[in-house]
Amino acid sequence: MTTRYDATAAMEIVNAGTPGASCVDGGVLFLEPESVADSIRTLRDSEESDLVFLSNLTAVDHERHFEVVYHLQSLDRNHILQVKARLTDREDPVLPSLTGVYHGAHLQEREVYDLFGIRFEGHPDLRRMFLWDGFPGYPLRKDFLQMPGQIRAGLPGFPHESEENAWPVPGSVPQRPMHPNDPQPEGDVVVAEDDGEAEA
Amino acid sequence: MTDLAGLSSVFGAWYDFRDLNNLQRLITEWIAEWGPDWLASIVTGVLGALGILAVVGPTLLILIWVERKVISRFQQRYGPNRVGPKGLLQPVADAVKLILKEQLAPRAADKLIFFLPPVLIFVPGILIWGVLPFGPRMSVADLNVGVLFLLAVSGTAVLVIFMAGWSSNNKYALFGAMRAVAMSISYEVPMVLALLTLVVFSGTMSINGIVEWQQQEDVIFILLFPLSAIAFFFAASAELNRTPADISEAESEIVAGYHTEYSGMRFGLFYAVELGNTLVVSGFIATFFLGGWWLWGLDQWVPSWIILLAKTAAVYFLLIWTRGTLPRLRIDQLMSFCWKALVPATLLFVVVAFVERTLILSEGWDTTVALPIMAVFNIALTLGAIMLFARVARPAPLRRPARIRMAGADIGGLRAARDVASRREEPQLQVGGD
Amino acid sequence: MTTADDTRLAMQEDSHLAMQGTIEALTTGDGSEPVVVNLGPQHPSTHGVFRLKVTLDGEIVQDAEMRIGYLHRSMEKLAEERTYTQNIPFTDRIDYLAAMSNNLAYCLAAEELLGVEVPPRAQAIRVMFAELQRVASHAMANGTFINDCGAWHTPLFYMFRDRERVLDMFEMTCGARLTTNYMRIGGVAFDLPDELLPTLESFLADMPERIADYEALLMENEILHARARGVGVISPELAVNSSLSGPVLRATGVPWDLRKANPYCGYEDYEFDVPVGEQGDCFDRFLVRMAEVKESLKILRQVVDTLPDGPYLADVPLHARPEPGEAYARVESPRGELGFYLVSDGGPAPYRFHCRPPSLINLTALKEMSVGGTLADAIVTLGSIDIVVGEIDR
Repeated sequence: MTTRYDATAAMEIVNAGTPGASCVDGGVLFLEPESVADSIRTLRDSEESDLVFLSNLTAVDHERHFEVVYHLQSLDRNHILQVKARLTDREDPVLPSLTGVYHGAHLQEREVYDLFGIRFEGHPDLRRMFLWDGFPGYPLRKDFLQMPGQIRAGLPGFPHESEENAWPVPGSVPQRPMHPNDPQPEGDVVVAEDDGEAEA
Repeated sequence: MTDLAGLSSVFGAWYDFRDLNNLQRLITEWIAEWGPDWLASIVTGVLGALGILAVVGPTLLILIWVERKVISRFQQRYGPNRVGPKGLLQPVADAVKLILKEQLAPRAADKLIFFLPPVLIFVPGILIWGVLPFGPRMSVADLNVGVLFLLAVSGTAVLVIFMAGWSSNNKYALFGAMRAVAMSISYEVPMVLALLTLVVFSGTMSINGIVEWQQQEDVIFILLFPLSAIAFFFAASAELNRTPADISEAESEIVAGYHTEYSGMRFGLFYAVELGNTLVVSGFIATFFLGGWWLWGLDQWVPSWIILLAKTAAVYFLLIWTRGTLPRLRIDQLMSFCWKALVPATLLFVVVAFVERTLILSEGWDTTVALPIMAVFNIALTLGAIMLFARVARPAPLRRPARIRMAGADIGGLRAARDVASRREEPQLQVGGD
Repeated sequence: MTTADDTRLAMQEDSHLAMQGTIEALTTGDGSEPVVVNLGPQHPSTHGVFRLKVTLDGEIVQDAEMRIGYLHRSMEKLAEERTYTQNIPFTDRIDYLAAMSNNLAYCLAAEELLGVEVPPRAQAIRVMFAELQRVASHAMANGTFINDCGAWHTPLFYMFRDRERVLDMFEMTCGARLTTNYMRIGGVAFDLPDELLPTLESFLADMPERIADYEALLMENEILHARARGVGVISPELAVNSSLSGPVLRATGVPWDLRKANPYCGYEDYEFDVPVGEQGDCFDRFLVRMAEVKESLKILRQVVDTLPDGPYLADVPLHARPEPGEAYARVESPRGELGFYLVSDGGPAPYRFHCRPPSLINLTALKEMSVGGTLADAIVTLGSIDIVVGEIDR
């Protein structure tokens, strides 16, 4: 049975290398965003934690901040550790890339970049993966409520075929009324501009 | 005007077209009585060509049905069974569909060269039929260099394929064409050498002469030179683009190879010629190695063309069988098989044929005794050569067996992997290896 | 330049016309430039709308780059607007060749969030269908793999016979063959129909003979050996580092199987073994899948023999509202480690719904596996990874 690796033990391993790089909150190990790659490398190489397998890498938009979630697995010791990193900058969230630590982070980081707009510094090939370059906005962010350009029945044509079908200029995205199931934003949520540029 | 009573001797029985050449001779003589020589040649030539076309056209339609039906039986399904009785009209429906389809040409294609190949590919495909002997005097052109004609004409098809692949301006087509050229040129060598064995041994380059030699000596060449037969069969299936050597139109790699960009009836023509070539090559394999229209005296009772068709059908079935069963070889594997296995082996048998022929001629050996001995010797030599090849030419990765072990209680990562690998017990599954 | 221009340019670059390409690279320069060939998105062996851009020097692959997203349906976003139960049909469409495994993984994650106890009969039924799905999916994978090696569909049709029988069993149980939507949070949607167990019995009785047939047809086939041995090799170290899973990982010799490592649904009660390969090449992946089918049949036999009675579905409200929290549940799907990561904010719909797609992550090492081989090898390698584009793109 796969056991959960003790977050406190992991914190000690990380902080032994770089003090203050991690903390434990509610049984979850949080890493400082600047040193995520180094901390996880320490966890991978340490004999005790032995977290050699990146099981999952994804992000969650918590409206005030992004949470990048890593599930690290040790195959031989058969334990799993959930690691998180918080990013508060919604305009240009940046995180060091894990590709140097795990080759398996390659496509998962591209996916997160594509759908959340989180840049991974040091990623050798950070491009959009599912959506095309120039797609306006990042769909898995909570402030992305509707496809820009409104959905029209019957597919009048492809955007590149005529001006009429083209995607609208960013900023003119019509906002849809809230659905009961939509998460109700609390407080002052920072809503990012959909800047459809294909940067990076 | 010759007497019409002679016609009854021309047609021995209603089904027996054995003496068609008599009819042809009658017509020639009749024209020669009043007309110029060239007219006789033209008339007989046109008649022969019409005869070939009349045979080939319907045969292609039936072959499409046969191929699909047989393949589907190999694959545990019914195959075409909706159009007509037993799906027999399916090829007609296919042809109608292909004719009605829009014929697309890529904008960037080299138009003239793009339009020509579907037509040109028919030329060698039909010409080859001219030298196939359906009976002792039943071939359109009984050339005394028939073997040479066959090889020369079949070699031109690759030019048409290259035209198709180049002019399509498509990378898949170009890859297919380049592969086809490389493969055809390579496989022509063992093909020529395999036929050279027969030519050396029988002392004639006439295709009918080779059949008559087999009839005279009461032996079929596959018994005398089995390796040449196998080499010719494989080389022919490579020239025909059929699995295991269909790399020039390898579906899973380059979509349809050189005819990727052809649609509608243009594609249909390529397809039809491919099937027709398969049949005619089966016919030639039957002629060269299985005795053609002759079958130990049975040809006295059964029309020769029926015997040839039966043998052709058997070879054709074998071709469908290999196609339905085997995966495809890679291009480098095909090339190395050709140059490292087939060419030396067929060369060896040219030498063997030369030596044996010399023994018969100069030592005056009685062929009824010598031929069986030589057959046994050659079969043993063939088996030896195949076993030697299997042992020596095996690529390195194949020499070790592939093993599957059971992890048992070792579940985990790299450390567990080392534990599993170091266990001494027998692997669960072990396949391949020397 | 406006965004519309950017988009247009991007789409033109991506458009099919540009893809099919011309042969400029060959006709300009000294004729020795590499050629870029697009395999896909419309190609016989990309198993869906998957595009592989290979740079070739002659027939040798110099670079392989994949372009995906043609089947992207934004499931993770859609799922955020639907209740936990309403999301189950989405999981069918993620990996449509292993819908049962996807159902199962999602339900396990939702159950972890909700703290639902699943009745034993439901557990056994889940194992039964997960293993049947594995048999069906591996039949498909092996059949198409041989097809990619160039066989003319015959092994594929042979394997489809078995797959048909499994799909028939799905149909008689839940009415659907491919997108089953059978598992529910807390159990399964319907109890087993009366005719299922006899059908399964006859299936179990026939399969050993069938597998022996396939082994006779394929395992000693010299051409298949020549095509698949030593092709697409990956070392166990790189495989682990690349997060590969499933038969691709096990073919390298790493015995990692979640059914053993982290048993769910009572897998610990069944006796089975984990086959591992040695070389990590395409042929080992094929053999591992073949051996796994045998192990699945073993499990099925035990499930049928020990099928408990009782309820098949726990009492879970349709509009369940789990406590705020998160869950990450994984199963060993036919393609590898399939995980669902759910975040709840206390509402009726998941706040975040993420699928860990084994097909996508197994492609991480595709470039390493195919560079240096021929074009034909790249196709065989792609076939041996056994991708499902619905799962890659979601």
